[in-house]
Amino acid sequence: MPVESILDAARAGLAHERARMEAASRNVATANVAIPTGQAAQKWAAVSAPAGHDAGAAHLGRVDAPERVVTDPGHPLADAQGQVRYPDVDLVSEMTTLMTASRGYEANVRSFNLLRSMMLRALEIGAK
Amino acid sequence: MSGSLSVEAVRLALGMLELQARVASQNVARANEPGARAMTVDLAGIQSELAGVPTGATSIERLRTSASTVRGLEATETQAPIEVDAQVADMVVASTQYQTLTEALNRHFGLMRLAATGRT
Repeated sequence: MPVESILDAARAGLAHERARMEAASRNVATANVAIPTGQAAQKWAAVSAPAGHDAGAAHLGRVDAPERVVTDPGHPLADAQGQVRYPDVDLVSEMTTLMTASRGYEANVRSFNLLRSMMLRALEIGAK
Repeated sequence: MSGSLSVEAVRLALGMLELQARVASQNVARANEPGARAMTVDLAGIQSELAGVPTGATSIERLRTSASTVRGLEATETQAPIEVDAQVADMVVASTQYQTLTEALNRHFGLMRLAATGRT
């Protein structure tokens, strides 16, 4: 078994948690950004890599999201009925994701360091 | 490989601990995937074989065979959700035992070197 593949799971976990954190913070940042007419409501999410990339590598992608409608005739992006569309971002859910992703990232760092220290100790067997 | 029963037993135990740590690491990596279930690996056979070492219930050949098969063991999925704290704790335990065994192995080889060369 190749030496470096032991750490693959921890590295994939780190990438996944970082992608979740990035997605949650972008969603929170764009919660009050109006959607131009004709565009579908979308939010950021951590998705699996498309074919051809490193299988299992997480990265950011846009997914369909529910929208909320606010009556604001004076808004530049208001439609004919004076309605403005925003992505319906559940702030509680996004903040929870931020926290769990942060804790998950720390746990993956811990797991990475533990495996690395085991490998280093194995390399020291019989050395002096 | 070595002709010593204790060295082969330590080699098997190190392989088992590395596998446990790797499976726990994979569980930690998947902990926040929706619907993820904890993976586990069945090491009861290996553990009972290691328990047979002090009583002489096993042999060097059997230990060597087990050491080569332990690397190919597959993890299976359980029905339990992944508890990150428990998985990290399992990794810490496996890592500490791994370091203890490598230290014991180093001292064993140090004694062999002392016996063979008269120097440490």
